[in-house]
This record gives sequence, structure tokens and C-alpha cells, in this order.
Amino acid sequence: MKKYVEEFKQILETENKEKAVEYALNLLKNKKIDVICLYSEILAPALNNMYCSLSDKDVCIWKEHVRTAIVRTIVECCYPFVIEMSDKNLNKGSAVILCPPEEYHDLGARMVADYLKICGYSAVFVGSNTPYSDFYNAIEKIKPDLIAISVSNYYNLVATKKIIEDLRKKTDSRIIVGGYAFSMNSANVAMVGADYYAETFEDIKNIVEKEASI
Amino acid sequence: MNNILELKNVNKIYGTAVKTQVLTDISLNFEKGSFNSIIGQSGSGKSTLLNIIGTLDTPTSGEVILDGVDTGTASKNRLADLRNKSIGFVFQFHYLLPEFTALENVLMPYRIGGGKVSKEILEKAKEYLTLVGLEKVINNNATKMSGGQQQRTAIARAILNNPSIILADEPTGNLDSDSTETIYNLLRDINEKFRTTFIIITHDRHIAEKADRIIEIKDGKINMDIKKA
Repeated sequence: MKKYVEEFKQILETENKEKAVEYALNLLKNKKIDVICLYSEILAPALNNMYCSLSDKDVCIWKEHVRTAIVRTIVECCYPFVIEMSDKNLNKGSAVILCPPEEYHDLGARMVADYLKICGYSAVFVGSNTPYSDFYNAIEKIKPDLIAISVSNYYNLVATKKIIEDLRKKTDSRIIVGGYAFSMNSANVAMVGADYYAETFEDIKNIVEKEASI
Repeated sequence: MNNILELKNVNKIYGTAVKTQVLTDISLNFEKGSFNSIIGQSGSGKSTLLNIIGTLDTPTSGEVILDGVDTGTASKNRLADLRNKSIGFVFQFHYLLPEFTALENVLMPYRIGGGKVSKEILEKAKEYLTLVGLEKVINNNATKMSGGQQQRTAIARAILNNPSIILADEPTGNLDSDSTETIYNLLRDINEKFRTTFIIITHDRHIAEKADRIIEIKDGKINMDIKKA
């Protein structure tokens, strides 16, 4: 695994999109690793531990965006493998995955959508910067069993708390939170009033098992 | 880390016949050298809270301990001394005197306090005006400066006494986004260079999200108190 992590990291640093996509998909095609492993061991760490040298400091954000876009392409290309990995006979319920208004970092949420699909949920990825009122109004029609909210910028925790408070008045859906705003300070989890906090695929799996036992 | 400011069960009620409770049971600690923002809708009680912290107003009940001094039991003179030496204020409107230069405005609180402007104080005022990037307009009248420059002069004025805490009420409320960024960077530099504690009321998410801690006041109560890390 270490070898794949290192090789992918090196390719990503060159920002060669074609090569990075090909490399990641070949790992899956050749059954070297599965999608969960690709996301949690290779892609997420590659994004979280992005290195930017001092000489590149003026273009760090640019580089981060370019590399994130490459990883996003890989994730989208992985969907057939996600379908293959998910048990079609399982129907644990429905889940919606979103980011609060003005939260633009949605790649973690996108991966969580696939995790939930693999765990047997029909997962709808709503995406970044979800307009609050549209989502709030749609919830009654969608009636999801799970709502997963991803927050990176800790300022958006303020809106997240309000969203969760309002959702509680309208739905019995179980609410999961995750993202950088929580992993940087675990005390923030208690602040927003969610049912669960998830950081890894294992966390998602445990939540799904717990929900199934209720 | 030491707390520079502690609020214990602070309540504020205005009026006697008709009572309006503006703050309810506010308890907060602020660590020395921390960079905090306070957010909340208009009328939520943010400015009242800041005025109480700055000893410009008094709580109806509760304690405010600033730099080790219980402001509820301190004498008027002690409070005035505390305000002058421990607290710097920055407001949305800079309150510079238009007929005076940037340098004279920075020195104004010192003059009002009765202090003769020594060579050291003069040099310090110039140094701080340089720190805020105004060395070229030091002798310009306040009216001959841009909004951002005026606010930077107000900041230089606020730090002249090396206060341990700076209270800012919408310091970028009047500024465009570029000037807002300049002011934020300046406040952060001061925070890092002098370990000055900052408590900033702001409606500007770009300022709030860069603070190390966000406190949301809602209907006079603490609705959220979150730290970045």
C-alpha cells in the first residue's frame, strides 16, 4: 500500500491529470485495492497532506485547486466500482449528503456519498453550497433516513447548527456530521447537535450497523 | 494559557418600569493573546457585551474581571486607569479629529490623559504609524486620507499604550473588501507581534472565519462558542 500511496502522490504533484486518473483506475481494475481503500488511504491523505514548497507559496491555492480537481475526476470515474461493491439486495434506506451554504469544499462529502452507497443506502449527493431554503423545503418530499452534512470552514458551523435545529422540527432523519471543521476540534461536534460524527469509512459502517439495530 | 478576561454570569437589563433583558447569563473566558470574533444579528446584544467588557457600561449583575481587576468593585479612577492602559478601542467609525494630522490623532489620547509628549512617545507613535503602513501620510490631515487609512490611524491610536486587549466593534464595517483584508492582516500582525488579545464584533464572515474563535450571540445569550483548533 505504501508504494501506491507514494507513487500516486508523486504523480499528483506533477499535476498530470491523465496519468493520475489512469494510475488510480488501474489499481481498481487490477484488484490491487478497492474503492474504500483508494479513497481513504490514497486520495483523502493526498489532499489533506498536500505539500507546497516555499518557492511555490504564491501558487499554493492554485495547486490545491488543480489537484483537487484531478482527485474529483478520479472519484467520479470510480462510480462503476462503487456500484460493483455495493450489495444490490441491500436496501438500508435513503441518505442525502450535502454541505451548508457557502461551504465549497465538498469532495469529502462526495466520498461519503459513495461510502453510504456501498453500505446499502440509496445515496443522493447534493453537493457544495446547498441553498438552505431549497434543501429545507425539499426534505419533506425526500424524507431521507440519513442526512450527512460536511463542514470544512468552521464559520459554517454556525449555519450548520441552525440547519440541524430546523431539521429536527421537520424530520426524524438521523443526522451525521463530518469534515475538517470537526476533525480540527472535536469539541465542535457537540456544538451542532448531530446524532453522529464520522471521520472514516469505519465510522460510517458503524453508524449504518447501529441504525440497522434500532 | 492565562485568561486575560473573565465574564461570570453577566446580565444586563435596561429600564425600570419596562424591563428589557439584553444579556442573559453570559459566562466567557478569553485567553491572553487570543484572536476572537463575536457575531450575531443586529440587536442580539453584541455591542452591549463589548461595552461592558470595555467598562463603558456596567452589568446589572455578574462579574467582569479584566487583567485581574474586578471591574464591579474597582474605583472610578482605577477603572479609568484600566481603560487607558489595558484596553484599546477600534470602532466602525474611526472618530479621528478632522483638523489634526494622522500623527496628532494618534497622540491625542495621550495628550488628553495629561501626558507631555516625550521624544519616546513621539517616536513610538511614528513607529506604530509605520507599522500600519502610513509612514508616507503621517502629516496628512485625517480628511485627506482614505477610509482604510483613517481606520489604520485609529488602530495605531488604539495600540499606542500597548494595551493587553483590543475591543473592536465592526472595524471593517465601512470598508471595501481590499481594505478589509488589509485591516485584518494588520490586526493579526499586532496580535502576533505584541500578543495583544483581540475581541472583534463583526458582520463580515471573512473576518470572523479567520479568527481563532467565534462566539455567536443570539437574543442576548451565547448560542455558539466554537474554536478553530
